[in-house]
Amino acid sequence: MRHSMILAAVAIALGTAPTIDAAPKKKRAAAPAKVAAAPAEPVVASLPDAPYVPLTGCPVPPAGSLAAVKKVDKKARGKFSIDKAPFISTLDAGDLCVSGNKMRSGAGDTAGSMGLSAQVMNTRSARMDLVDIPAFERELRPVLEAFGKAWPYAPLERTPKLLFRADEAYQAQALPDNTIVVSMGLLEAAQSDSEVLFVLAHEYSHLLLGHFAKAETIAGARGATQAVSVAWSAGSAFTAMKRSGGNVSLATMQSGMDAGARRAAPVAEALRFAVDDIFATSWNRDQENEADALAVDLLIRSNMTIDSYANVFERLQKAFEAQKASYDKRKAAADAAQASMGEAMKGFATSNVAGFAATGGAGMQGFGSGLLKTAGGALVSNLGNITRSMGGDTHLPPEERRKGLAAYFQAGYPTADPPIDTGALIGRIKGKPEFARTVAMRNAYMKARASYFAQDYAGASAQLRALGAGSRTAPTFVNYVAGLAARDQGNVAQAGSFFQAARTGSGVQNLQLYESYTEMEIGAGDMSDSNALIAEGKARFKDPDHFKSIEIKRDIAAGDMAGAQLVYNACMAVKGRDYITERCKAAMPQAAQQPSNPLGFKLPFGG
Amino acid sequence: MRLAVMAVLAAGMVLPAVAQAADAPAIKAYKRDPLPIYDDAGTKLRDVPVASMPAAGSAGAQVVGAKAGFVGVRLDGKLAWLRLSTVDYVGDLAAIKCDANAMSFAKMEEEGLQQSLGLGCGGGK
Repeated sequence: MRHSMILAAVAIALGTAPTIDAAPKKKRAAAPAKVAAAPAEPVVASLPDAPYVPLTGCPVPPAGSLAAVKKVDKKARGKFSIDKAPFISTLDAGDLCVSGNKMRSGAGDTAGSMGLSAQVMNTRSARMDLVDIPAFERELRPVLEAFGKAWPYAPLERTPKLLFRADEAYQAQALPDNTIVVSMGLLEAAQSDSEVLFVLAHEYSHLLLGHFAKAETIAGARGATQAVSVAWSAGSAFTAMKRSGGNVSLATMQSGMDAGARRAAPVAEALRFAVDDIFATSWNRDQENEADALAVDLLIRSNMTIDSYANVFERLQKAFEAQKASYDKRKAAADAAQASMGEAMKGFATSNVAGFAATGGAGMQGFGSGLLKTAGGALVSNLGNITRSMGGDTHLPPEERRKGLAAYFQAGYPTADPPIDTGALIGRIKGKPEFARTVAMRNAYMKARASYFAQDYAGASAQLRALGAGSRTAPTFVNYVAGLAARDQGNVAQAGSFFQAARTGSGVQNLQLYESYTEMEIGAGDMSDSNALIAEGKARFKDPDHFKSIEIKRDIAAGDMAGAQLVYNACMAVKGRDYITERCKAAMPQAAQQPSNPLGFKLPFGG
Repeated sequence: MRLAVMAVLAAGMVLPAVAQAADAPAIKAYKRDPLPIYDDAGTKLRDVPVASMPAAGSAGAQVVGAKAGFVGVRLDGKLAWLRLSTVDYVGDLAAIKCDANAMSFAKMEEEGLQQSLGLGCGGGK
């Protein structure tokens, strides 16, 4: 009762009754349509991108234009690694140009030494739950522009795009595709302008300093993307197990597999979201301190308030302490999850998976027991390591960072008089109707997602429909989870219509949507649609290597083992992006297990 | 009481001088030496060496008043206003709401929870 009231309230708040205005494919049966309420105001999907200003040369600040450098008191700064202030006055213009160019360069195979900005796993397209809120960006973009004017070195060629994440976490992230993501939880918690300004300046600083191009960052990203690979592989395998695209439902499978797969699939899907939640750039301590210091520099140089930035560290410190306190609980939860996965895998092991695969319809032909056991086994054995793989906790405790920054400010800005924090900016943001709407949507979405993970597919569907699932104006992730719920209910037609609405909608496009959608089509034996989706995904995300593992699956499902082998071989030749090859190995374990050549010894010219 | 202080802070209103509670939030750091002191109208009165101020974090550094951009402390028995930009003062902030997702099992290794800000959602409820 209470729940339905909440959803009704959300629907009213959003001004979007469920609609079906997507363009489902001709073969799809449309989901039951409901009459759409007219939106209260025109939907503005996105603020136009900031102008692109190509970088020419390598700007160097004129001599004497930057504040004199002072030493930061060693005892006062503690372990805070910046020992001279202002940090901005100590930077090397040439080094910044090199880092910036590395971050921007190339795409996919044509990337430069790093090419991080073009690799989809490092971009907004790989992140779930993102929303574009033009009203917020309109408020915050001028802040970033002011930071840009205060930066005397090689500038970003475009002011970063601001996106918002429909979650409750207190976090923000910079991505190398020039995106800054701010969680709704952070905006909700903010009680002052200076908190928001500091966070934006901190993330912008990571971009300005070219941290993404640093070797240590890339090493951390590789570990993280491998974790993503494990989750992705396991999720794909369990999706196949559930026969989501075929004619035989899971209920007809052998009982051991039935029970196991039913438990395992939502866990595997949840992992995809979970890894997304924790897939963050692994900054080292120095980089974090540099971003803190430069944030203060940018705020002072752009005459913005710094009154209450310490609140950010206080909130993080409380989280830090809560995190330590909850360690045992989380460990227990992890053990329980791992045990559950282990049980699921026993189901696979005792089932005649290969036999079923041969008789279970076209979609199953390529998915043998080897893949399932390999992927599932990898998940079981890696579950406890997935988050650990993202690097050790090298950060200073937030309280130490606050102390260090206090000493930094004292040394570097002995006469600065930044303006008083009036709270006007955060007041305007929170006063906008979009704020209440987005928070209500976020709350309802998280409930719906939890329902899905609890395998209450019907409940999840109902909740997501109340958020507009089926409409192209709904957030991509709303349609995506609605598609998953429909798929796992066995309603492939409806799942297709949700996925279509997401794919053709105005929301922030998501790579995972394309992967899940394509897997479903492969499972359904629809190679034509699979091909179209793969081609569109390659064009849309401009990273063809990322789709190689899916192409392998498609070829295997189509019985084209030679084609799969060709793609596999090409995939193994991808350099510098370990997760790409890992995914291909998971997609074609039979190839991965083959010796490099039939003679059994290594040939000088490779396999 | 502490919540009231924060509410006033958030609203940017003047809080009359109040008796010091033992657990009232205190200034955590002074960031300028000497420290400028202001009157009720926001006019600078004088500079005070940090050595003459109550130690940061001590009972003497407890904040007894607040208004937009300023916090008030007792100095020689009188209310003295300090610019927020010259001190670290965080009041008594509530813990971050952190039931961020339904996948508590994913939050299993504290090392993995760090985010771009240096630390992610802590998993506390």
